[in-house]
Amino acid sequence: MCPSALYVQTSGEVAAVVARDAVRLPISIVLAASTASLPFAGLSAGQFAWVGGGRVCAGDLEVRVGRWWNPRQAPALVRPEHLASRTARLARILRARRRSLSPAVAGRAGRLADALDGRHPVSTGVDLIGLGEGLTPSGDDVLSGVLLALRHLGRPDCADRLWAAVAGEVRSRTTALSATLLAAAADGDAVPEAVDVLAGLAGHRPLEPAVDRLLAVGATSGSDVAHGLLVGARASAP
Amino acid sequence: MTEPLHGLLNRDPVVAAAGADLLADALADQAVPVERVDWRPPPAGTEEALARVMGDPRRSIANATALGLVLAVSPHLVDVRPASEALGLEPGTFLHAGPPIDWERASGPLRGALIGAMVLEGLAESPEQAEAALAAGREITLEPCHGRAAVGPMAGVISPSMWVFEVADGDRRAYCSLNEGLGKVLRYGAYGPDVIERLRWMSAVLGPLLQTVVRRHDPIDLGAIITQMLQMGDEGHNRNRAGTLLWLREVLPALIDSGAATTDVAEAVRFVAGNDHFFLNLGMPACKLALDAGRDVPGSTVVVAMARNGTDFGIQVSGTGDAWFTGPAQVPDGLFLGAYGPEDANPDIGDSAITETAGIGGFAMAAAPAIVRFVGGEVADALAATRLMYEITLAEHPSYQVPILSFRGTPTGIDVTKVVRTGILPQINTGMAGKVAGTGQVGAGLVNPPAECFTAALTALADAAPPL
Amino acid sequence: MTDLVDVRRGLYRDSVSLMQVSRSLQQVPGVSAALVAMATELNLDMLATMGFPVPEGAGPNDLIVAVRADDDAQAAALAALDAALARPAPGTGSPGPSGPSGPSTEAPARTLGAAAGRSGANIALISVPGRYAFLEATDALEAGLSVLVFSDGVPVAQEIRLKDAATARDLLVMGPDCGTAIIAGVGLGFANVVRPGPVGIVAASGTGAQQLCCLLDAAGVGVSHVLGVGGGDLSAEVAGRSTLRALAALDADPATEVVLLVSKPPAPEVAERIRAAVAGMATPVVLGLLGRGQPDLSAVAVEVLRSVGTLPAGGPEWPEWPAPVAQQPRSGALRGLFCGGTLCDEAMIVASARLGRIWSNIPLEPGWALPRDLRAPGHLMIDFGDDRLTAGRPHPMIDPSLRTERLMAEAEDPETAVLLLDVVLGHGAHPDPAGELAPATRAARTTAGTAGRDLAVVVSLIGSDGDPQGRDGQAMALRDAGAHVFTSNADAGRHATALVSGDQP
Repeated sequence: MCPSALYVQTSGEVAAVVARDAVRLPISIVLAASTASLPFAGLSAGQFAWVGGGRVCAGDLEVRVGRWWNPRQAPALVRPEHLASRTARLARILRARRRSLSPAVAGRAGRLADALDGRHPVSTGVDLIGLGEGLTPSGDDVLSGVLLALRHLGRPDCADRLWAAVAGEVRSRTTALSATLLAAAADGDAVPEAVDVLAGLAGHRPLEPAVDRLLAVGATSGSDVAHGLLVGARASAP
Repeated sequence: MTEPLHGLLNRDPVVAAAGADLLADALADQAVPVERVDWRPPPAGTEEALARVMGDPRRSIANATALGLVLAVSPHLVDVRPASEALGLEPGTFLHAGPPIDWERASGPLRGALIGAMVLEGLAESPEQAEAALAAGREITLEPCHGRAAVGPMAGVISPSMWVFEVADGDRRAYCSLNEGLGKVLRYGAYGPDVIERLRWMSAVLGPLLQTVVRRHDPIDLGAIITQMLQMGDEGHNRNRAGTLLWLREVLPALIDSGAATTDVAEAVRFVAGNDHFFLNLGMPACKLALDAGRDVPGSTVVVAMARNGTDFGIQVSGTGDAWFTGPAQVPDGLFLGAYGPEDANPDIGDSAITETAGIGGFAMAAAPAIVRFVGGEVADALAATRLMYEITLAEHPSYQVPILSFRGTPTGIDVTKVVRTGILPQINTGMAGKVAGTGQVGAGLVNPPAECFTAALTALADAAPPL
Repeated sequence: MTDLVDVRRGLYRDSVSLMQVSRSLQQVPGVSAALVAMATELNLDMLATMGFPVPEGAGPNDLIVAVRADDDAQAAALAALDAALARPAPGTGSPGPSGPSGPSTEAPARTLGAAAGRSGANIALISVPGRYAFLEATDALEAGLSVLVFSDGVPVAQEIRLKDAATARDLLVMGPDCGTAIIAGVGLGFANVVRPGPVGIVAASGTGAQQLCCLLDAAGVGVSHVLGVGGGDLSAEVAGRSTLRALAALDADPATEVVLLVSKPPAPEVAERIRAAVAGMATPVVLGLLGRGQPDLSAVAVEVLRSVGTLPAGGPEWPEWPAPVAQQPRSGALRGLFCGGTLCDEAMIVASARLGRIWSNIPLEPGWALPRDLRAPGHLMIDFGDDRLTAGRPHPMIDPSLRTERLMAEAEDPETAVLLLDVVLGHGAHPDPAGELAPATRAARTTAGTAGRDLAVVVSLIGSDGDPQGRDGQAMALRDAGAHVFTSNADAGRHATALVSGDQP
């Protein structure tokens, strides 16, 4: 099977190289080629790559920067009259689609939700980091969702506090890729599918189709991010 | 709240570029998908008329209206009747293919067919007498088929005693003569005794028999047959083999059960089954019926008829009423029967280009790989021909589809502005008649309309459009 | 030596491609002159000027080929011609790696409507000759695409019709005569590679927008989008139709924090509409109105930096590369040779404040208009990008030869004391302008030096670090040729003005 994305780790950061039709992580270098053309054929994990001078080279693949792109931005204006009802609708959609968190993650996500209400210190968010398997563990995806929702739905102060409380632990507890994505989420950057759900929560676009597109991302990543968005949205709703 | 400008600022741009390659190259360098247009300037002197017609605020809605009406038509065969009755043809009146013409300018095959029809109608004892009467023109009226909701292949001559198919959708009607077969036949300008004898049999036996059968049968859905034949290797103009057999299959039980003499039934079946083009005369009125629905929409640039009389090629356009825009008919390019050669061929003739006007025939060439050699070419040429026609049409037919193009709908609704802008002329598959009256068929091939039909139509559309 | 003149009927290529073909023919050994061009009136005149017989009956849709070559070079010239003309048809240049799925590949589309249907495009880029641009633009709008009309010479009635059609469909028409746009990071037309950022620009001036993008980028501030609207959009007739739509779109864009409107001062009634629209926007708007008595582009950039909160104390320092030998004041005339109309205009405004009358083909005052031969004593500035000088030939940003010729002529003129030139980098522009201009600068200075004069050359370099040509490399090549290079056009203008007005710059 051909690799579907290329992750290049430099000293501390990870850059993703993805096809133009693949899920566009905010840290992506996007190719002009599509997935169907198997742009990463012949590459294997652990291979050396060269990054610099506007180029990424790995194996036979050489990527030259043609332009810069901006991750899609969430709308700045939140419509408070929509937020509470749409947050409730997000919860209903997730139940209807039978997309739940694993028990261990769910428990710690619940504790973080309580902490956002002021019942625990927000440093409880640290418990989510690195929880689960794979390149982006479930707990990290949930935490990303929480950070994004706080940032874009009216609680940027809270996002800053949460990030300040967990940032120091990120590098040691999870994969380099996931750490990079968490930092991006703390800045407010996410995959466009998550940004669209944020726009839906803020009242700027239909929510349900946006949620379905997010749920289709990755095996469980999209679903985990959605649960995180729900936690963050509840904390932001008036 | 929807995103302004259809999300222009929130999407990764995909660009279509016309003009300097340098600017398209700059986009490609930025990893932007660019669809380049192979743009060429329209003919000098057409800019102003094009701008006026393209800028006509009625145009896009008018075209959508006209095409909507065309595509909504569901043609059914409902009756078979004598032309005198169905079309109100009086003795001495003859319909012919293409735009209006008089005897003086009529080509050999049209003259031959008229001579044969005079004899058939008993208005002349001999071809010589017929020719003299036609030349004198007394008590003879020549009219285009198109003016009476009819179409006729090649010479397209319909006289009162001939029988015609009646194709209907609701109150709409279109008519076409019965197909006589190939070779020495009236429509190719032959008028020998065997031609007249066959026509007499068609009026005396075949017509009444088919009338009985069709009247007993539910209306026969010709649109469904066209849809199927395109998936069976026919394009509906130069290949009608599958369509003919599908139609025969449909009427066969009623034919057997008609109570007619079994010898007549057998003769009729032998005649239809032995004539691969029998269905052409059903496909043509089906196309005519659909296109007539799109007529007379002010501002529409959709071509509703292309027809040739052997001398002139003419088109009619929805937004310009019954006006014909004509130019000299071209000699087709193709293969010849026996010892015939290009010098024997008459210029393009017949109403059968109604099939291309409706999106089949040459426009569906990709559906008929079996005849690409017959009309001179390889399979790839057939695909290219159909694809090219999408450049000058406005719609893809919802039910007439081409399997090898992933069931893409055939290119339908020729747009005068697109033809003039691109210089791409409609491709027509056609038979060739001998230019000497009485010869019959000499070959088959491909032909285009003369470009001036379209520039003339454009000028008329521009005159009718509001100033910019 | 034989003249060969051939007409190829109905063969069309765009003027830029043909310029390249002509050039490749001229490089064939033994060829002394060659012209490959569409048989427009202008090109037929040029053919006659070059001493070739003018063929009968050739029209603007026919290609003329004229070659003057040694008899034994004719064959090589014709082979080079055929090779150059037989470039792959558009659209087949870069086949997708997945390859075609059908039994034969599709030929390129012949209209924008057809192309849009195939590719899911959302933007049409139109650079066909102006009299045809309306047809393609109408087609694109009907297919649901926003349109950038790079072409100039589109009648104003057509422009208005296009813009109204776009409004009815919630689309945007950029242009006609729109030189630049950046949409979601993609540069269309002439565009610099600048970083993404918070500033959204609506521009009725292409080179003005390019200058601002580059200055902001140099100060570390990026743009969200640059929406060109065409030089005529704020005229009384067109009444800001596209400007208003572009402003509204940027106002709704989450990535845009500050909007900058760059334009010549609009017609008074239009100005009122714009003011009303701006007053209704949630996003702050900086107005960059160009003209006498208005802040120059560099001052506008400062204002934008202030509004996004990134203005360094003491103001920004725009990069510059002083000449190896410091330029000294001298007496004589200032001669400006420009590719960018707005840059020329700005330089004239800066200079005339000190120097008074500046002759020009785009004069500040009607009485200062240059005669048709573009010659006049005293200070003068020429915009080589003006419609009247680009009819039938590529823009000087692509083909600088006309300006280079004039540069050499100015060097011979004993009156010329200072030469002021702009160089515009970015997508669409010449791949290496300094590669042409640095040797010309050197030669010009040598010519003047031989005559005992010191010719000061001042360059305004519009470019960014990310541009394909590389700003710094271009700057250093020009500096090494003896020029003083600025990234602020206004600063370049002030420096050049100071040199001839006797001040210490």
